[in-house]
Amino acid sequence: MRRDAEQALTLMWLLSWIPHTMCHSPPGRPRLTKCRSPEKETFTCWWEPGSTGGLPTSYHLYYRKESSVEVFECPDYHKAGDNSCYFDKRHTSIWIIYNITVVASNTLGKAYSESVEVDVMDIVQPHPPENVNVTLMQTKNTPYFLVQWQAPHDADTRSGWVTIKYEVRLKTENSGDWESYGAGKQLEFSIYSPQPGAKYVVQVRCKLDQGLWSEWSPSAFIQIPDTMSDTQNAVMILAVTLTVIIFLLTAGVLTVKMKPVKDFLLPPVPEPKIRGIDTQLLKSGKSEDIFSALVTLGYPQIAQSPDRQVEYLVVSDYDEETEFDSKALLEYQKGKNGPAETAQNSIQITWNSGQGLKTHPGTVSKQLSSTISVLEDLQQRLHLDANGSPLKAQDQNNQMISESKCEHVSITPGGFTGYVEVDEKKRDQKPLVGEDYSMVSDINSDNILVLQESIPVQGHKEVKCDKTSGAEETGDVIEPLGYMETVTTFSSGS
Amino acid sequence: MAEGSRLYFAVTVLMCAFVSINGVGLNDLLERASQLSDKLHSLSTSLTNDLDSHFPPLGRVMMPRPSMCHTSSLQIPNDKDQALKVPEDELLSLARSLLLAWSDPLTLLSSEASSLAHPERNSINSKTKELQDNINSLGAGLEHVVHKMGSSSDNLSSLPFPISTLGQDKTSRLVNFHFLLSCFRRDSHKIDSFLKVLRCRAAKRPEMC
Repeated sequence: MRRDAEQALTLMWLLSWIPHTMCHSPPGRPRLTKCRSPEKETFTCWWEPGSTGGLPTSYHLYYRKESSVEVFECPDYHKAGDNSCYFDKRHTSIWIIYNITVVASNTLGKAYSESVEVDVMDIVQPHPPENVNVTLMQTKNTPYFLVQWQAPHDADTRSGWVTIKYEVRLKTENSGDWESYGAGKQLEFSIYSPQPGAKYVVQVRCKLDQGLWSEWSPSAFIQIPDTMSDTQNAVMILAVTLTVIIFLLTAGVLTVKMKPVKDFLLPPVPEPKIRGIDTQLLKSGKSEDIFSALVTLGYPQIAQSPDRQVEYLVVSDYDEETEFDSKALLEYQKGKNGPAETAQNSIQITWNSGQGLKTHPGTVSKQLSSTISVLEDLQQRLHLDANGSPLKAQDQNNQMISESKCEHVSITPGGFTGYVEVDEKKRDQKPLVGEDYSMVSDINSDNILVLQESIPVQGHKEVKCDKTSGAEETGDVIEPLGYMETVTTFSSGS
Repeated sequence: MAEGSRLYFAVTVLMCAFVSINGVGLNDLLERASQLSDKLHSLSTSLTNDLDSHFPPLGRVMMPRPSMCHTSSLQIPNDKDQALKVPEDELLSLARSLLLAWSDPLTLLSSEASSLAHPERNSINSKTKELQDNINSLGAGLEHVVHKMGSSSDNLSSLPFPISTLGQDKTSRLVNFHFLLSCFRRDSHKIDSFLKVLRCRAAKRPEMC
């Protein structure tokens, strides 16, 4: 058994030697695989060796040029690596057909490859573009990335011997499909609207004239940051803020312009208001206006008796050149006395006269009388209960006192003498003209406004204190008149 | 005054015509010419590919040698260094001579293309016609270039084309058609290369090339 094994092994060992010593053969046929010219100035051919035949085999390349019988051997076997032949500039001619053959030879024989006919113009394939880089350009609205590269260093484009053309392709790392773009002669290319958060792979290749495309350059990578969505968020926030501002502005404008909205948003605070007295009028300080406002309160019969008109005209009819200084202070004082007494309300009208005022007794008395009349009316208007206390008008300067002959003034609720009847239920009496000019039905002259009141009269008593007639009148229910005239007769300097 | 305005109008028209012919710069003319020559070469390449798609192997054996092209007698530079040494007007006349040498053969080819025994006959036919048109327009363009450059236009080499028929049987007709086309393809590449060298020489800015 052992012997058999030993014998088998020896036999096998011997047999392994046989091919080395006995089975040599001439080499197999080599094969020219490809020839390439990277710049239309030189070219290289590669071949594939056949079987070696067990012996050291050497390879030789021979070529023949078109229309010549002379055979040349490859000028450079080493520059382009193993099994290659490099034709330098001196040995390269274009538009001429090369007939190339590779010969493999060993000690036992030679083998010829198939001949290949090559014209340099057909085998032009450049090296790939160099230094491909990608940079992200963050512009305001449109971020994009820029691909840049350089021409292969051996292509001579400056003389025009070759014309180069580029192509860019890119894809995201995840997807499998490439997108290709022609880039012409330029050395850069912009890709717009990249996906945020994606990682891109970019490659570039080139071609000389109508030749073959080069290999794709090594990949360049770029990572698009996710912050692009942040810019979108910023845009959203800005849009929302603008909308809110516009809304607020609209609300503000509406509030100012439209009263119902204003009343809804900002309910009006009630002001303290003295009925019958227009505080604005007092502030403005024009004597004639104030007089007219005060006077017309209680003297609606002005229209009926021109004499009375005259009476009041007298007050202003004045010899002196200076007029009354138009300040009339109306003070409504609430009685501050003790509880024992009824609240004594007094109305004090203070006339501030200007300088150089001669005091005519008549004038003063008339002044006072008019004051009293005004006071009476004021009392009525203000729903004062005089209860027998006489109205006093006091002249501060000379302490003249004139008393009203009317000692009894009763005031019925809701009414004041004359032509304006106010509904009992309606407590508030509107100032004569005030802000509501809708009551004005006609204007007769500069000074006369015709108001219209259509409120039915309720039962009331009226007391008139009539200076000229000196009589008291008690009026009954007065039917509503169609109108009341208010006369403003005072004018400055008259 | 109508006559005065008419005269003015006529002068304007003449000036416009003059400018339109001569107003275009040399580099623009050469740019346009090199685009045409590029188109010419790519057309011939695509025609060759069409023919190769269904070509009988026997035909390759029968194919005449490229040295038998009727333009092979023309002395042309065969590498870059030689080409860059050739003066401009000589380069231009070489290109024009080659172009001129192919106007007759193309006529023959286009007449034969319609009756070619080839499955791609229609495509071949239309492309051949397009080739003819291109050659004519390129020839006209190069005339302008000659005037612009001021070189003499009578130093063109004569390259006669004595062949009047492509052959008797359809195989030889096909083979000769293919052979003529390959000759033309090589010559169109020469024209293209020479014009592109000329264009870069005439360009004011080197980065234009």
